[in-house]
Amino acid sequence: MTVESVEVERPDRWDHPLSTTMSREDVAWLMRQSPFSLMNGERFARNTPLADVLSNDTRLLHLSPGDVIFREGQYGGTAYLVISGTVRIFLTQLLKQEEGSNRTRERSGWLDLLAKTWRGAKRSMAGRPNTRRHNRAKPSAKQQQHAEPTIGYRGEGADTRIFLQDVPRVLAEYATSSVEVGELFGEMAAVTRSPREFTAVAETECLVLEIRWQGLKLLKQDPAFRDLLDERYRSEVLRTHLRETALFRFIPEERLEPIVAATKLESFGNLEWYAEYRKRMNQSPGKRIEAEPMVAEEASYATGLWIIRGGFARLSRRQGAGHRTLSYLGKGQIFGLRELVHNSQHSNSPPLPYQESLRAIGYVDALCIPKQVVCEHILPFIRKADLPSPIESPRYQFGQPVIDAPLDIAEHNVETGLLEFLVDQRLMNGQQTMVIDTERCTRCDDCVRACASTHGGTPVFVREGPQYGPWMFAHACMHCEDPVCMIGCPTGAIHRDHDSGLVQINSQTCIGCKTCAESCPYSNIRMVVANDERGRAKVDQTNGLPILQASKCDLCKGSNSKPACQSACPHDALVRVDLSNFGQLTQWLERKAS
Amino acid sequence: MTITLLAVGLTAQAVQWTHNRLGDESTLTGWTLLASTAGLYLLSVRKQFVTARLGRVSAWLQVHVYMGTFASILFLMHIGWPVRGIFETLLAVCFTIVAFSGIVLGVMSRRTPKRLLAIPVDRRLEQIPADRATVAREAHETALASAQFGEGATLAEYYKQSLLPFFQSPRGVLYLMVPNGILRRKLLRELGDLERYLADRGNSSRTALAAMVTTKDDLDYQYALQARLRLLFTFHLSLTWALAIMIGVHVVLVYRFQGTL
Repeated sequence: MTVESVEVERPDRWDHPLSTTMSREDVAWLMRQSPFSLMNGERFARNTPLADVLSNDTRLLHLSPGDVIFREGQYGGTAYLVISGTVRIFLTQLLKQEEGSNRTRERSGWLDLLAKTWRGAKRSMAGRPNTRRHNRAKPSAKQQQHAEPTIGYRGEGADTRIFLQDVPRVLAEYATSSVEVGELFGEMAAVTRSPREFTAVAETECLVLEIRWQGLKLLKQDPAFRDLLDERYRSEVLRTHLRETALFRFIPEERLEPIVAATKLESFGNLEWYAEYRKRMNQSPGKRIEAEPMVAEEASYATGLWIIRGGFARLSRRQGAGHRTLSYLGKGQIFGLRELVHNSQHSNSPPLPYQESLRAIGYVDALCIPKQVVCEHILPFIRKADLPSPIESPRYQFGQPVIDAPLDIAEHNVETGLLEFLVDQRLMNGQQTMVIDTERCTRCDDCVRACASTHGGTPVFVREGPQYGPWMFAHACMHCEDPVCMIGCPTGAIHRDHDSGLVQINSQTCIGCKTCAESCPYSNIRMVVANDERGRAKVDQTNGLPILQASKCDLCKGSNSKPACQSACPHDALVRVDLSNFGQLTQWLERKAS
Repeated sequence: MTITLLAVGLTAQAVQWTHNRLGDESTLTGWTLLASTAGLYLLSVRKQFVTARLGRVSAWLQVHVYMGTFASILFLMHIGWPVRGIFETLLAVCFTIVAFSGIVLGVMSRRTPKRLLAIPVDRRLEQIPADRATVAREAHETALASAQFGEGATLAEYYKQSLLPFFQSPRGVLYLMVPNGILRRKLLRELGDLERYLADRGNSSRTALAAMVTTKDDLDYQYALQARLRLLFTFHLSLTWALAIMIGVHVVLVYRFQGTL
């Protein structure tokens, strides 16, 4: 049997520029503007010169007052540089999720209405970041009165832009900060692959340069641009994150300033942690844990409160000659509060050290608020109900012998072995992890067949993978909280969907470089032969080799129902679980047990 | 299940009511049986539309099981005893086999996963032949190498006599139907008996061969468990289509006999 094929030109990283409207004149003009005029062109690689980066990875946006550049909760792989005009960043939630969604204007007839009713609630992870935003307590009388801003639409089709009406009124009613000419914004979401933490709106007529994450990485080769990026990252991250921490919601605005001033932003581990992880796979668990960067060590003086900003951290304690994992902490979770509360309430007795250790699993971005600041500006404003349970019998006390913890305590109702397994395999990163209960699975492969029929005959997952007890964590894309597969993609083909946050591959821009497949620590991305619209295999016209493309689970996007694999399972053995949310994992296990 | 029993009770009442009014109860049970049997085919239809918002297949399977139970009871109410005519007997036998294979499938679907879970490494059915070939190649190399240790050809001879057929050929149909550990235990016992005839290096080859016997048997066991479930499912499904044709012919025959057609 011969496979029909078609010869095509091998795709290149800049076959699909961010915008086709960037002219030579635009690029030449940009090169004369700051910060590009200050850059040293020789620092750029020969195949990726600065002019080409600007031409392919950027686009100029001409904005009118009120134009929404992006909204809170959206995912995005681009940063923005203000060339002229002023942009406002809304520090409190401006738009509800539905209102600001990037949709094109459509005519909605009764058929659409029926279809929407039938489809029911939209499956989306977009709600996740929103749940982390907490409105600050006691808003001013002005804020209490403010009405929802009115929005309008400009443009047609894909160029439709949302704009705010009555901008001066909205700006007067909401807490905002300005971004002026030469400043960069929105890069945090692009760098950390996380949702946008605020809404950005053009205040005046603006010219903004949108820079694709891949271009941003290239521009970072220049030290001046790297400094600009780092400075912005450090100054904005603290304020935004502290503002939306649930624990701080009753802290008055004036007390927040000294907290921001004293807080340190610290990073542990390596953003591209998967290489190190692979290298250490064969080491003993004890060695692997000890190799993890230490954030705070048990039995050491409790110097501050730690808030996880990105990545995951392992909460552990010494057990015998090793370390026992108690939990894993993700974005927004706090470490050290129990000890600090205890010490502030028992100021006459010697202070308690940290009772557990906190280690970076791969990479962690954390904020550290010094003990004095916590005692003075935070603890007085935390409600009793929000305080952690008191430490009844501390394991570590200065000058006292260490009390060894019994092994049989099942913390949070999760089997310790399972917890260790999830962390060791880095599975806690998955937001849509495919878990197969092999006590129910008859290996009928109906899930694989359903997947194949939804994806043109080729399944995008493999029904095998690491297994703990009856739970098999199949090789299907987990749509990670921190999708490291996106880091190296030169074209941005692998990206997060703006609204749902699902990790998707754009087959038009994928050049088959394998970077994503090689960087996925879970081997959940496979390279397959690319086909044209007639199903013919694409081959390179110069050497006849097949052209590959990355393929992975897309959660059956566009099907308006659960993923085909899940709904096709006749024995309810296959589920999708958000392992990044420890609480949800606990609930799921409890449900299973009952 | 309560709904199924309720439906059976209501149907029995309706049959009694028809009987008391000198009606044709076999027409009532026949059409009800036909409708419920047609309902059983909906599971196959659902499986064809994988992306449609038609509920989970597992829910459809539950309905299928309850409807199948109802249809089976109704079938007993519908057929007269003894069954007369060759075609009618064939139809009754076909229905019985379909119902029985369905029950067996249900039981096996619950038991097989637990038995598979007891095996240390989970393998996909299509992977197993390749894995078996690898184990067979390794066993062959180990046995041949053992002959060069200067400890005689004891192990190699035993390999040729007993282990070669085990590693190189698939298990029989009987094993596929009832997978068991009889041969595995026999081979391991015999390998154990060879210990006294072998020196250190020979014994290490013997231990390695014993581990390979276990691995091969685990693979065979997994293969048999998974394959027989799939075969039974295929058998159940194929017979349902034969049943559908026979039911069609049966309806035509009944109405021809009555003179309605």
